Amino acid sequence: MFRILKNKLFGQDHITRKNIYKPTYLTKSLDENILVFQTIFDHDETIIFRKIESREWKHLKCCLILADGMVKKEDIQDFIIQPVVESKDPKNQDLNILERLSNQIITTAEIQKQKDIDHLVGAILSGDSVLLIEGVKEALILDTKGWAFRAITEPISEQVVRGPREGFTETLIVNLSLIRRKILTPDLKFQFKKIGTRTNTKVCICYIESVVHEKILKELHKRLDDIEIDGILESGYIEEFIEDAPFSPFSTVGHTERPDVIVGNLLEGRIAILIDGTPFVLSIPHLFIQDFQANEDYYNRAFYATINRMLRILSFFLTTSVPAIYIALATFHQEMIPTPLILSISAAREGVPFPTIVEALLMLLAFELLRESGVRLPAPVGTTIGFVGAIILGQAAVDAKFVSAPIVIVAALTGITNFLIPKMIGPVIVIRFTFLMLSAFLGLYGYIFGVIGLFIHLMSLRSFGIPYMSHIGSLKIQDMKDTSIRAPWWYMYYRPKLLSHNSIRKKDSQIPEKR
Amino acid sequence: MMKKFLLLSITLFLLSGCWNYQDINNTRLVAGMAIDYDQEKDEYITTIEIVNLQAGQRGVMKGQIYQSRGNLPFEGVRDMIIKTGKKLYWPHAKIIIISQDIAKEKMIPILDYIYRDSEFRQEVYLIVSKEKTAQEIFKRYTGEEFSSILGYHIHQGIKSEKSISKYTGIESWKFIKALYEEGISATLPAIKNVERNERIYPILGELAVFQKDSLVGWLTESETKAFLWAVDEIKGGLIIIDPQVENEKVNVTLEILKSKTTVKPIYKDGEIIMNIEITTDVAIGEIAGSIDVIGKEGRAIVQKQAQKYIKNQVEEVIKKVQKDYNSDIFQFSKKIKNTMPHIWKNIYKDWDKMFSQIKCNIEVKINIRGSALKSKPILIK
Repeated sequence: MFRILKNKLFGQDHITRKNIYKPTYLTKSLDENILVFQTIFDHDETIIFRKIESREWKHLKCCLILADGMVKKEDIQDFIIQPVVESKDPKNQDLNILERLSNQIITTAEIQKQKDIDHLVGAILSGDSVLLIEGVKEALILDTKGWAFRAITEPISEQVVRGPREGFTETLIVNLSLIRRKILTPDLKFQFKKIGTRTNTKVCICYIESVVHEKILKELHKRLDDIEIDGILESGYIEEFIEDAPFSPFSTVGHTERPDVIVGNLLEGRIAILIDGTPFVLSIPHLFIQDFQANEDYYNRAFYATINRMLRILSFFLTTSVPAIYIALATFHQEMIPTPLILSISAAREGVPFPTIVEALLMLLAFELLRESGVRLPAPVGTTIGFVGAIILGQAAVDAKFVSAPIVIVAALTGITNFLIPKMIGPVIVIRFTFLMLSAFLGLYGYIFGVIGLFIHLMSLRSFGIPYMSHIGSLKIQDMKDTSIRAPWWYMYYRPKLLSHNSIRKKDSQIPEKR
Repeated sequence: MMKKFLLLSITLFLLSGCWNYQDINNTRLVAGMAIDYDQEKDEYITTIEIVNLQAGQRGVMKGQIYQSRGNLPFEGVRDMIIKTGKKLYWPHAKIIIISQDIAKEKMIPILDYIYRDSEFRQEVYLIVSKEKTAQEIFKRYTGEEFSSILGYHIHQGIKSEKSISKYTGIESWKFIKALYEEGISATLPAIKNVERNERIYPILGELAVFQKDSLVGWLTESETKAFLWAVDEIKGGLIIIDPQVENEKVNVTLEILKSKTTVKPIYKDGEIIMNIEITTDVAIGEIAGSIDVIGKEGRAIVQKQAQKYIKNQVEEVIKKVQKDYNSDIFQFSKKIKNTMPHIWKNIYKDWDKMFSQIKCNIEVKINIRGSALKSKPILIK
């Protein structure tokens, strides 16, 4: 029905393309070539056509095509226009014009010959300049990229107390340099792809060849090649196309803004996917336990890191289960609550109009509202939201007997523990409300059902062939070294199992001796 | 797949057994119950104390007494809803006080109700009222400022028995278990009202001795302590003696630190002798004079006297129970059954007669482990 309506409104083929004649290769005539580019870039006034002639060398006639705003204009003046204009008429004719220009006159760092027009257009759009020359069938692509980009700053989403403070930026090439600077080996490979029929977004696959698992790499290439979309604006687009379980609340592709995290992942045999235009870099395969690992764990002392890990795991349990368990105990199994506690709970509930489950839903909803409203507001307004939430929803609602005090405590506990695992916020909300509804219908019995269901789901997930819950059920010491505990570095001899085909990380027995 | 999932979720919601969603404030928490028996009308009188919660942030709580009657306890309890308005919630009831009439004749209907009903905890404590009726304990209580909910107050008293050892709480399941076992009988703590400072409040103390399901007599507080010694239930408490040291009498309080009693039946010449060995660690907790009872000689005298004192007490209480009540509350029969089952097979039919004839051989060993913070008595010079 919708299709019929759509056809009526817009007609069968409402977009008519201009059918322009576009030759594939350049010709010898400079004017013709210029005309070709002028038709391609019709109505695009940022494209500059700069004609250059040499003062002394009469045969040399060129035209420089560049996109305004994407290039460093000083470089063009100093290294291209000036040398060309001042070039002398060559006495010997051994070298042809192209060779002479690229080898002796133009002084940019990168230079390339090309006759394919599509390629040249792409180069212009990505910030290179194209030099067309009279009487030559090829053009020169000159590296003049230079546009404004954000400075390297500490990422707001992942701040650390101890650790490097740099974060990825929106510029792919800068991001690559951040990785390259940390891994000084030719083993580190970068492979480019272009995804997006309109945006032609540059995507870079990055891995360490001697560590990576080839099958995973091959699978990734296949999945990336299968993507067909008009534009990629952020790594989230790619994430959703390549993940294993699209209907799961859990993500099987990791993302981070920190180069040190990505480098850590690469060293473990994972593969990074960098996307031009976003500071968020993807890494695969991504396992459940990674959301509980923070980069700071690896810089702090092992004991402290282990405590933090366990806190995060505990808070995952709390934030998913506290409302459900409270509901189950307070409305089904009052006999399980110690007598003094049930007295204070029921005293607090006395005179409250709503059933406990409605109360719980209201408070949790209120918390989610506050959270979502605070995220996108400027910082000063965000604090106000916090105050309003604390005073109005906490204090006043209890005083006015809208809700009971225990449920405020439950909601607050749920909320705070939520923020210990920031990357899990999405899945956790889904789980929390599912558990809550289950235990509102069936008590602890329903809650246990929910937990069993969650575990079945988690155990069935895979990320690029690696079990999502890998290392977690295991009781072997080697598998547990980087899960709920963080073993000291000198004790982690192996890379995570299955991820890498070269699993030995370092030689063993490197415990520092007592001196 | 989808069908399966649907079927599963439907069964999950429809066929499960937990349909008792119930907000706490729609019920009334029961703290304790007292049961009496009206002979004329052949009815049980149930008196309950519920926790009355006043709305407000402080959560002011008060006990409230309700009463109703019924042919059996359950009926009375159900009729209570008419008066309270809300359903009663029993799992947090801690004590059930029964009157002496019931304890003598009608224990089974009450025990069955507690044992069968799903809402009662099996840990609920049974207490026998020494007053005429059981409801008096609740009804005459005037110590609200001191402790607003009497049921919980009594429960706390039972819980802290181990540092007093003048009574011992028995949970309902233990009492019922004793009924099921051949030979042995149980005891229940007693409660009575006292009036002090123009206030009436109940205190625990003494022990009601049962012969299976009927009350046969009482043990006084000191007898109770001796009884606890015999059954290895002493966990604390005091021993007060007056030894004669250096020709002078002095009162000394010994604090019990640890005690272990082993009962071993011995079969000899067709006669069973119970060997009771009591080993108790004590510390000198109080010396009411300036005589040195901590030194080697003084200590030996104290030790001797304490041993003699305990031995006499235990002997007396065993004799009293054998003679007056003929109820095996010391669980001798269980010991015989466990250690000498072949002999038990022959005698268990005549156990009721045999019990009063059993001889006991009591040995007490007191170890004085210290004298609290000071190593000398206060000396006046």
